[in-house]
Amino acid sequence: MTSLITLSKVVKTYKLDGGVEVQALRGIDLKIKGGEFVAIIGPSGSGKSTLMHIIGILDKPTSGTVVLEDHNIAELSEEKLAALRNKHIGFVFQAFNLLPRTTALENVELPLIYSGVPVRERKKRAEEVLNIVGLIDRGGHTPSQLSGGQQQRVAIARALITKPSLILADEPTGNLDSKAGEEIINLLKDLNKKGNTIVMVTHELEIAQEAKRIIQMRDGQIVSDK
Amino acid sequence: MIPITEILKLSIQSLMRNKSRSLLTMLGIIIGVSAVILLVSIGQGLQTYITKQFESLGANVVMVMPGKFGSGGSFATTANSMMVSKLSLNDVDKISRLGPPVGLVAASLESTANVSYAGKSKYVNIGGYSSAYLKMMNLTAATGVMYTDADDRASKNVVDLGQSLATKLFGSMNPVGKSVTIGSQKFRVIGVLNKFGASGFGVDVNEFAAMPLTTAQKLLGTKSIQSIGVQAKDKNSVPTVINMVKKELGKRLKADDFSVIDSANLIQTINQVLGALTLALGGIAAISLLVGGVGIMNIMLVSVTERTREIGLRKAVGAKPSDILYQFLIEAVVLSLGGGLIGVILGSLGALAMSSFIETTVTWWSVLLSFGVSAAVGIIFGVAPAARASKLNPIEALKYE
Repeated sequence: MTSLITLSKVVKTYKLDGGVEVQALRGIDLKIKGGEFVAIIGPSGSGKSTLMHIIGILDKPTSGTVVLEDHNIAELSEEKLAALRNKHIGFVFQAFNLLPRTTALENVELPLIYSGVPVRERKKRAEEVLNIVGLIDRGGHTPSQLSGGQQQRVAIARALITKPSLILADEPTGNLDSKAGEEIINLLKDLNKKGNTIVMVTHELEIAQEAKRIIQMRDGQIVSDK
Repeated sequence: MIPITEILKLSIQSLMRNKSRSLLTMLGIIIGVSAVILLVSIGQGLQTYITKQFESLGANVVMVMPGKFGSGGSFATTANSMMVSKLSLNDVDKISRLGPPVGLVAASLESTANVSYAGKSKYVNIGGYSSAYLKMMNLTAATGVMYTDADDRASKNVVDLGQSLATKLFGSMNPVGKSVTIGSQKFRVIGVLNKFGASGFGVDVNEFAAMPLTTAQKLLGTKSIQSIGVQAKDKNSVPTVINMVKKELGKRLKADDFSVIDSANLIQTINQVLGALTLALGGIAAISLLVGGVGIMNIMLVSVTERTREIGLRKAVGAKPSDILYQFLIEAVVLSLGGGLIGVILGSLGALAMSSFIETTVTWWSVLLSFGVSAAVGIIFGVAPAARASKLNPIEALKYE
């Protein structure tokens, strides 16, 4: 199987306010293939969040190349990157990031608005993915009427709706109790079994061990990949 | 870019999530627009009212007024010069002797005085008019008779009451033959006038008393008169009559002592002044529109800050910077245009409500202008917050607490 996303010699440098340069990533080479379930683990400051932003093409590397499905990221404008994110990446965040006072169904539809899908089809597809995450009967509820675990499942449905090449989960269980967290991990594993590619960032080894491949980060470098 | 209808829907959804705040933000625009509509409608109404009043005078009547009047002069100097009018009955005689195309020549002298009867009293306009004036203005008696030239020559203390004044002093009683006190003198009521003219602006034109000109001069202790009305044979001879009158009066008076105006000229001058007044009123109201715009910008800036995470999320799931820009810009425009629409409705309703007291005319240009200005206000004051939103870095925005 060909690689979904390929990072080679990726370096990311931040300039702090004082003019000091911080190297968050120091030459990352990484290939992720379709159907993988990858966990990126490492202590805070190890560069795992920066790596996730690069994989999610929210950010461009300072040097090195990132190729997502034949697209060389460095060459693309912000408008093009947005379209690419919309099509290929599904995000799941630690803090869920659902729009308040907006129903679960409308939250799930959101990415399709930006890909120009007509209203009727949006609704149909939102119902399909809500069904996959087991919340079809909660479509009319707003986030404040849902538990944390349910909110995260709505967020996963939102990530699924564009049928992305890659689901990127940033500490998906970080704001949940252990039982709800376990359910979310099971859901992700289930989705992976159905063929979805999942990249999950976490600092908990226990959760990382649920993945098929574990990448350990330290000081901006990959220290182990197995 | 996603279709504008989708963006419009997104914007309206966002505004509906904060209904009370959206409404309060619109309030500035609502007040501004309704003030523009209302004030301009009052100004326009005033203009229409006054034009109508003067048109009833007839297109072929030329007025001689004391002092300088017209494009160069102002109402203030005219009011002052009325006090020192140099026009006299002698001038009236001379003008009437000019012959055709000069027709009727009428003189008037107006002031205010207390008119009382049996303990009831009213402070009203008193008009001393020559009998030619009565004819020219078509003033006729509903009951009793009008005074005659003979009464005028003899300066008799007789008076015809305006209909409203008669009702106020006498109720349902017939005033003819009764004696009233005007100022300090006794007058015999010989008639009640037919109702005339349109009422408006809190002034009842029928609340007045008419008396022979010389009687009024005696009452007010003056030898001068206030204005002379000269009727031309027809509309086309008006310029000739103006020249003849100017020439005749010029023999005795300086050019600055009097003005000769026809009603078209008069209406034009008054409309100039009222037009300026309307613009000034509209301008003051427009400033409140500007303040409303600043209110919108303020709320939109707050909204962008408050919704930083939402913006970050939208960008993460595929919103382009331009999508975000248009969403926030359209939110601002919806606020200002919504306010504009409500303002137009409220302003028009206000004008309608006031039309029972004073004449108001809602003009299409004030409605159009208010709409245009509120749309412009929305765009101008919406651009800065929208640009800020579109430039947010999604990573920073998602981390924002």
